[in-house]
Amino acid sequence: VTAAYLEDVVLVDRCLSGESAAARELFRRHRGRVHASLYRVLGGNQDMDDLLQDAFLQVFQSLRGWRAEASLATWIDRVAVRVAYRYLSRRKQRGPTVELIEDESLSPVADVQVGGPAGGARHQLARDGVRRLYDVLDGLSPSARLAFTLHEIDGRSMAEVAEIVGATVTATKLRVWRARRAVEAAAAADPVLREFVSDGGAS
Amino acid sequence: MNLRGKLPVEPLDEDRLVRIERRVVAGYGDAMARGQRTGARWVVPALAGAAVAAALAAALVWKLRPAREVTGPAIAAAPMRFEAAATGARVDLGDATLDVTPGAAFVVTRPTCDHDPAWARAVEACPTGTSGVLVALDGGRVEFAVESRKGRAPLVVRAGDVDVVVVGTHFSVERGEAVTVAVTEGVVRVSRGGAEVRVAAGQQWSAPTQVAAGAPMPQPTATAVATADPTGTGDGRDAAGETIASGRIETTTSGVAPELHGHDTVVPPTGAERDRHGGSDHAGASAHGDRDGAGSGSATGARPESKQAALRRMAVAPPKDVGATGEDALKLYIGMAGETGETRRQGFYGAAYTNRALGRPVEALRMLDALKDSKGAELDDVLWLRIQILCRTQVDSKCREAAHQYVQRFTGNDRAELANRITNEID
Repeated sequence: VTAAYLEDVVLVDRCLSGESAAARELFRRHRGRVHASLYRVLGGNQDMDDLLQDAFLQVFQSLRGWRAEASLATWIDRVAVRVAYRYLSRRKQRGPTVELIEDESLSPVADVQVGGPAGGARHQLARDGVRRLYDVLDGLSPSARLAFTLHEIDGRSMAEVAEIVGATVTATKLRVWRARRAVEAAAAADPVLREFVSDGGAS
Repeated sequence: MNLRGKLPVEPLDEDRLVRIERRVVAGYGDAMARGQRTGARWVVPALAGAAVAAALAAALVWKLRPAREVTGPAIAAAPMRFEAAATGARVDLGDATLDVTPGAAFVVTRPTCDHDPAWARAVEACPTGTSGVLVALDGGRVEFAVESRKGRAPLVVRAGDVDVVVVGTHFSVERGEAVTVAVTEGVVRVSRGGAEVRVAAGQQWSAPTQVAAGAPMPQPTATAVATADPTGTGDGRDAAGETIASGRIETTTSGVAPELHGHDTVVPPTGAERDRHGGSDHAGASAHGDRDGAGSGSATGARPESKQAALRRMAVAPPKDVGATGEDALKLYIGMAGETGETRRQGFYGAAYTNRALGRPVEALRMLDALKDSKGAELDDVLWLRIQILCRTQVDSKCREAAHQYVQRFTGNDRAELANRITNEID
């Protein structure tokens, strides 16, 4: 029994008893991590506010299903990933969007501070690299994109990604491998993307 | 390929976060209700279908109401009816009427005593087969007229961390920069962070929405509002004879006692009498908002002291002082429970003690489970706290079992004598 576990149990109980202050606390405690995951999976996105809201409302709707078999954080991440999956599936049906390209303020690297002319060039390169990377990701299946971004960008282990997306580790590895192959193929034909994804690339 | 750290997350600015948080908290009640209705793990009462249909119909009426400012997502798992009024709204829950001022927002649920353990332990009286009413007030002012809830779980108005518990009365709760409770008929109990205060007809209680840990519980003050029952007892009896102990007002009026302290009707003594009669482990109770320091029923001499009055008199040992109360203390104790050795044990005991004071007996018992291997004086306190939790409202089989465990290990002291009474005497 860890202190974090006990805190989770108490907080969930308070939420289930209808205490809106507890709901607020749960949101504040987990919003940063959930937002970061959604951001890395989806890229800068004009729907981000709605997605974050949807994720937490889904959390509350399903909260009675949390049985402490997983940490509350992992369980919330799983719910958030489902929201992202549904969003990607719907978007795939509608066709790709390009908000990442058009609105610089929404770019994941928009706030990177790099000084001087050389810094400005690196900044531009990084922004272009991110844009081209997410162009490639837009062509992947939602499940492959989720596995790839959670592992390669969000930095989660294969086992953790598998738990979050509800797949076996083997299936998760396969999805990550397919996505990586697609990115590498695109990088082979695109020097900007190649520079960005390389070990010494712009950051 | 190396992508980690190359995509810094653009942080959400404060305004966006506040907007999202507001929407999440506003929709939280609805989301929970949807989860409750669709959750396959929970027993759905036979009337749920009809209730949900009625609630949907009510929601439709709500949607079609004339334009007004009330935005609260009122929901319930039981029939409801909403009526728009020129200056606000009137919500008829069937067993309570809520007059809502423009701008007020709230969520109504009907937690059941049988299927909602969090609710059952949040209220002291929760008869089997009944459900209570929980009104979670997000903001604004709501005036309540509540029918007698005798034999049923109470109606609770929750304004942040302030709970107003009522079994039948007329009062209002306003939540803004301060939480204000004004009672015009009957009596309500206001609890916060383990401390309680009784607010009777003609009285008002007010406290800032945000208070520092350990801040004293304000006492009610007289209001200028006309009261239908100035005695505050609901039946004309004198409300005098109150004693203040550990941030709580005890009352001698038995007509109020069931909702306040289970089913005990024994008259508590004055503070001076309590001091004379002892309660050796009372020290420190007030720092934790504990209620065990309440007076000795035996002081009246009118009739034998009831078991539950004796339980309250023979308080549990306070945990290690962490310089905080309520939820703040609980967090500190939980942190200690994550450590090792003696600190861990003190943490679990403190978490059990505080959870109990906060009205969460199930959590309290879970914390005590971690101390099953206790010995000596610690075992004495752990078993005694277990009895205090399980026997709080009624002497049932679990309570007797806990008392039996105690007398198997300890004899020859007051606690053992009372545990023996609980084990053997049939009420």
